[in-house]
Amino acid sequence: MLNTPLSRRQMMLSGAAAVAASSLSFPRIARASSDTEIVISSTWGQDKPFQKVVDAFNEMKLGVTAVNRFDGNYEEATARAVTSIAAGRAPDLMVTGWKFGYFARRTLNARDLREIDEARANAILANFQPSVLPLVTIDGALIGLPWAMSTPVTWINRDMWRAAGLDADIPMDITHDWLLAQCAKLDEALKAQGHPTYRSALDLSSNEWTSQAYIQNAGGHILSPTGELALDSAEAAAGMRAFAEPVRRGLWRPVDGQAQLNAFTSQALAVTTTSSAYAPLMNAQDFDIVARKFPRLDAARRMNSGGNFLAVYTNNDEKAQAALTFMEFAASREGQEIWSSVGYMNTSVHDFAEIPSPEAAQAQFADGLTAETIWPGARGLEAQTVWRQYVGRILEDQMSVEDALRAAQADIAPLIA
Amino acid sequence: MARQRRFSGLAIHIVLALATGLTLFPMLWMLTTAFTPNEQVLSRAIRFWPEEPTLDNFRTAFARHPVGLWLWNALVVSVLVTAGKLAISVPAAFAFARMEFRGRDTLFWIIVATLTFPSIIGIVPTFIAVVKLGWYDTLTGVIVPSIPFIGFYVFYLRQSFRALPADMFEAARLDKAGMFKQMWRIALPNVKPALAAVTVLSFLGAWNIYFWSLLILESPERKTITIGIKVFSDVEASNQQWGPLMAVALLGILPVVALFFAAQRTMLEAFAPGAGGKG
Amino acid sequence: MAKRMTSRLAPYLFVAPAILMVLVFLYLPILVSLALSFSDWNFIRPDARFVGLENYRAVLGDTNFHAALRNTGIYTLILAPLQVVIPLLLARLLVRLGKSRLANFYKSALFLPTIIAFSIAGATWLWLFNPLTGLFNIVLEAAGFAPQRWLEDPKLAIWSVSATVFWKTFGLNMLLFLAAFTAIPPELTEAARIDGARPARILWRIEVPLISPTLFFVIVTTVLGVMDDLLGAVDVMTGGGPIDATTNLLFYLWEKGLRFFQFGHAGATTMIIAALIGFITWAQFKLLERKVHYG
Repeated sequence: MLNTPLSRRQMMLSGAAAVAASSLSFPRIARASSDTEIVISSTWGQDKPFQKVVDAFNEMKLGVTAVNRFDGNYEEATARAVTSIAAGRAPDLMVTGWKFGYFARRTLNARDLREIDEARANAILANFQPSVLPLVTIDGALIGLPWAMSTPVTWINRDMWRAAGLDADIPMDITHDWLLAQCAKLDEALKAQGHPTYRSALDLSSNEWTSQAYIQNAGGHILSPTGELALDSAEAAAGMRAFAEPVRRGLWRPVDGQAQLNAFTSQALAVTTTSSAYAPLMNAQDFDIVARKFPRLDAARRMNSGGNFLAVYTNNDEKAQAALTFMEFAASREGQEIWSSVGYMNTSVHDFAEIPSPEAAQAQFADGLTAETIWPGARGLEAQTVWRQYVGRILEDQMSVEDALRAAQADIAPLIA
Repeated sequence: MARQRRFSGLAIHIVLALATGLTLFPMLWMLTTAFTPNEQVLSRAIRFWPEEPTLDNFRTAFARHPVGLWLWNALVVSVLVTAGKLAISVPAAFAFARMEFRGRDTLFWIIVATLTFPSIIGIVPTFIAVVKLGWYDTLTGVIVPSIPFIGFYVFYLRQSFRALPADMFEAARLDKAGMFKQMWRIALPNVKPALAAVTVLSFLGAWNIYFWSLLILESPERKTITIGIKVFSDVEASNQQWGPLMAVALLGILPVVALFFAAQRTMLEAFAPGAGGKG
Repeated sequence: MAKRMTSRLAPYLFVAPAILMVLVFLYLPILVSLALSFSDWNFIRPDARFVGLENYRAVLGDTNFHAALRNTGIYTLILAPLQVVIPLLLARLLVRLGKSRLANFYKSALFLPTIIAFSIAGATWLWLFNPLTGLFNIVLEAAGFAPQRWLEDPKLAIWSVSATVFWKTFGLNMLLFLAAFTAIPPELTEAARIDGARPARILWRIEVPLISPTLFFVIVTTVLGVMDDLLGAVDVMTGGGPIDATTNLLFYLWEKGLRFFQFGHAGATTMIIAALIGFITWAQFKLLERKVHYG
């Protein structure tokens, strides 16, 4: 049979099969109700607390069915949204990183919630603390639900810490120099132990977020208060030098953020400075983890916030109203109760006895947080990518700190003009 | 002399066995991982087969993502792209091989020159066109723009048609049979191995379409397996779900591996001389 | 008379669908890209302006474009020779075995990776390269060597990606060489063998010239194919990183065009790539075709 591979008959058959196949494609699950369906492009898969909020909302049967669609991390989801919008079908709602606030408004045309329905929008936002409202107010428009805020903190594996003979009584306020000295001791003591394949004492998360914290803690800015790019300052250079120091001293072998997080939970990494929102993950580990404030330089700590807001992009009025219905639930005490298990700081006016967000994060919040870099202009996504590459070049010692910052300033300035 | 021969025969086997082992290894590792409970996958023990093989990874994969639909969509795309490619390249190759007409060589080279075109060279204008046609997030939007990459197929089929002896068509010509009949009745049945090779290669090619599907297909239930694996690796690799990821990878290669083994003999034959032209 | 008209038209009817599809979907987009490359239309701005060579200036001055160009060169230098020489040697050895069960097994097994998708190959190797639980680092560690950052070390990553791509692609060339070697009449090499010529000499002096048309085809398509072959694997494994270590020209085009929606820059990049491909193809024909021996 194999020697006569394609008779005409077989070809006709396969042609017929092909036609049949195309008419059979996309079997869709029939929906019984006449609900308005809203698709939320998100950065969370179905195993995450966000899905629980969506499920609880759908349970209430308010005439709106919400669908959580995982589209990758902030960058990927945002890029997907650009494609969808170019194709004329914006996502109904999208989990948007704070850092893309301007991009969301200026390029993706995120809707002003008040323009959809002022009364409903005001009622929704009344559930949140006034201090977070400026973060979702872009160009005078209120573009999102500010319900997911985090800040980078220092997570420490105290079992490894003890095993290295260090004092397990770790102060809340730690400095960069002190942390590096501890990590050097830790590295020395544990060299022959622990996880064999990837081993590092410390990781500062190689993205633009923690490097911004270092620059700010050195007294510099990525964007000055007046909105100008300020990478070519002496303070920025001092911050980046400190940021790269652990790599230079052999205490940190940068791998991608996810691998570093996995390394920490696999006890291949003793210290990691990353989002306070990983609290539930950290609580789930069976070794002793504590969170402390982000390492400070000589000056006072000036930490940045991070996270995301939920924004509406659909131009369909019915769907926009349905989106507000979802937001009403998400902002309510009931919605926030489910949401609070996610690990973000509580930005609402509702009080919950116990939330997983660590004390260090709440302390930094109380000290006052700056925004994370909200890349201005229509090409913010690109600007952020370029900056990340320069952070990488500094860490991998491809360029000196001064050269990299000068080049970054020159490359990024036209992108955000 | 004889001794030297036997020795070099052994050396050849050693080299080939080594190459084969290295080649198969990543796939065997995928296979092992797919059937190993995920906790053991992460234990860093070198284990060539799990003590208690499990289907849990497949269950997890199917529970979290519409993997079945991904496979089905890939099948639809591959079958229709292949049908489309055959439908346009067979008559063209036949005309180039067996007909005389003005501009023949120019037209032939216009098609064959596209062999040098990278798959995504025209991706921006094609994207605009597909959106304007309303084909965004449809399989049609993936299928139609994938059909014209026929440079190799036209080149190869023309060789096969040319290799057919002219007297084969004499009788038909005397009967005043049209060119279409000559192609359908006489030429096609005599180049079956070449057709099989083209069919299989085009199927494999379509099964592997990546960037274009990534761009066009948005809804989770409309994705194909090759881009589904990207979604899967983004969400599940971050959770260290390597077992389920390799289970999906395995499902993604099974259909093409099956097709390859079914068509293997014909394909290898088609590339041998005499059967399908000079290759 | 009417009959004559149809028979004169017939060839064109046969080739029309193919020509139309090719012109509309392959040539026209390049012309449109040319037009885009002189405008600043970027989908964000609804009206387009003529900007002259501004897009070309921006692309040619872009650090990432330089990296993409450099990496395209490195990938070609790493992969093209490997993808030609190793399949050629494997094919020669396979022919030597003749028709046997084992030979068939080797053949199928060696060809197997070629048929799986790049993204799936990428995911599989991503797992092997994982710094924590990947097999490669576990084996290195067990053997007493330092584990590596396979995909995170900018110096190493391009090699890791190349290994994946080589694994995935060498089979097709092997198949083409296999066919060419099988076609060589045995009597052509028999005389030299009886004279006691070494196999390497026979291969180089007699067999390679005899398969030169295939060799030429393989070299041309491989050199051009390297650029294309990488994309799926790169997207799944590294996204072009770390920093810019594994990107290439087509990946750059993809990012500029459909991630950042700078259609003008993408248009200029398209034209630069097209010119480069045209030049490389022309150069290969000039340099190599003279040496091809059509039997």
